[in-house]
Amino acid sequence: MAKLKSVFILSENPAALGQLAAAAREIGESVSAVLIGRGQEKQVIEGGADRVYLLPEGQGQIVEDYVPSIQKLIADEKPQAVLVRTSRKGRLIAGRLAAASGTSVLADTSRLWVENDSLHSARMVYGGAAIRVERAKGPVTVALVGDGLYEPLKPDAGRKGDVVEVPFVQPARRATLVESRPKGGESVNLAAAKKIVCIGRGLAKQEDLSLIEDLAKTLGAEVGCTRPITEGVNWLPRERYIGVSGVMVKPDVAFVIGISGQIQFTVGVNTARTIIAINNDKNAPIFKSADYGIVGDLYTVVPALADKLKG
Amino acid sequence: MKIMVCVKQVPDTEMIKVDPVTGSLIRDGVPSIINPFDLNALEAALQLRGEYGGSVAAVCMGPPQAEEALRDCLAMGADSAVLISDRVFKDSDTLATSHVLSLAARQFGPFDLVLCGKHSLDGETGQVGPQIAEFLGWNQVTYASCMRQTADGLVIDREMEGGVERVLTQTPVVCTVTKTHYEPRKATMKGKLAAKKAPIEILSSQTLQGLDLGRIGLVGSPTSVTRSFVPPVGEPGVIIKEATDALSAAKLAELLAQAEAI
Repeated sequence: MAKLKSVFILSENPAALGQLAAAAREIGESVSAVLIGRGQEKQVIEGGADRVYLLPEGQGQIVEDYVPSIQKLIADEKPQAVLVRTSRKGRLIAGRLAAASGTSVLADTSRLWVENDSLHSARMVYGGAAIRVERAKGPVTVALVGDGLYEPLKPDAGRKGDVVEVPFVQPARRATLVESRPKGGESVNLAAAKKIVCIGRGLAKQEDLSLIEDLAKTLGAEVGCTRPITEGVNWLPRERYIGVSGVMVKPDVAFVIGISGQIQFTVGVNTARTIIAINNDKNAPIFKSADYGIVGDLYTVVPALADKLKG
Repeated sequence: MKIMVCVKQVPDTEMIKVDPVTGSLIRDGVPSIINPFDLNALEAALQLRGEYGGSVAAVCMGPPQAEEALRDCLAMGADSAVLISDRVFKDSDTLATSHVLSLAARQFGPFDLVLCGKHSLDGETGQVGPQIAEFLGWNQVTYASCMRQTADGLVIDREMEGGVERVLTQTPVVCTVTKTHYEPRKATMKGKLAAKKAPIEILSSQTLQGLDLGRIGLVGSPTSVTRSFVPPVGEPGVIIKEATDALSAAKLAELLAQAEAI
């Protein structure tokens, strides 16, 4: 399969560049990462990049301030593809880079490959009910790549790459940062979890989350949830939401509890090696994607199961 | 404050059916609704108008029946409505759609604000807002949860994964809006009645100023769909239904241990 000559990778969080590098290596001959500020170059090269373009730190207050600089870099270096990590900022950056290059973004890809010399993307549409294969015309394709789709490559300390400094381009207009209030508490990387216990609206009230957390603790698992649990009732933070527009997970084991199994959710979890469903409705669609299913009341099954597993 | 709100009509995803062979949407009998996230944008516009005065124009690109979505916007309180409808717009992707909406912003402006939903229910790409901003050359703030006018400019809270960023920006600006402070109001009966009779301006490719026919519809959309299909369904698994839930749990624990699954 022919590869693209040059692929750029871009993430406001350099820790996620490993996944993007893995994706870029599959589709491109040479991989260049764009970084803001020093410190990560070595790690990014060891993780699969051939080149690092380094933008000066401190010129922009917010990451969008760097968009004109990246636009100029793309116009000068003419990569065939730019992979941007899916995030709220990533969507904005990808949209602006694409529009400036006269193209649209291939959003929310679930797989990228090169076919007839152009980048193709498979994407779930209609909440995962169908898969659509898309490509974008134009000299450069901008694609959004979500967490958990590509396994980072094993770091190779022997890998060589060069670092090229790139000048900052003043944006014509910008928003100024007044203050930043980071969300308190935990941050979680569900995409990397080996075991996940997922909960949905089968749970009657927020206090009952302790049942689920207890099972998760017994298993050494992370807790994930459906969209209504985070966006509907806000019982869990958005980072724990699994599904077509949330996190895509690929654990060894997923317990799916009190979740009927709408496709919008199952697409986020159905690559788990083993799926175990617990639901009181024997006709719930989740049983179709489950390897093991218990038809029963989660309020009695979950504590009993936690007990058994504590063994 | 003069505000344009972009709205889109989408199929009600609760009712969605997909052709099992072609993977394309079966539209027959599927009701259309306003993209629910666009209603947050409309609510934000109405609140801003309430606080600072001005006007709210709802703009929709879509088939003739999208007029219904605009009537709903008028019923909620929008001052005017524009439908951009022409067969040549069919199959426009996000870039082509953004091109059209940015032209509408020029033609009916000058606006201080263009507001969009955070994304559409059917596409979920979140691309139209950023691309409109790029075409207009305006500032943009995505995922705005709260907007206020101050002596220095607009102060906007934006919800990012890691927390809230508060930014100060000058108008004109394109914002995409979240639900947090902008839960849409219900239309009043009076509003609904007035909306039935209100005029809706309809623009075609001929009357939209500055339109480049090469940048709209299927030809003007960089993205093309090569094929669609329905994902395969796996083999059904083992269903456990013992006499009691506790026995079912015990059985599951046993099976998982046998399979060395955990």
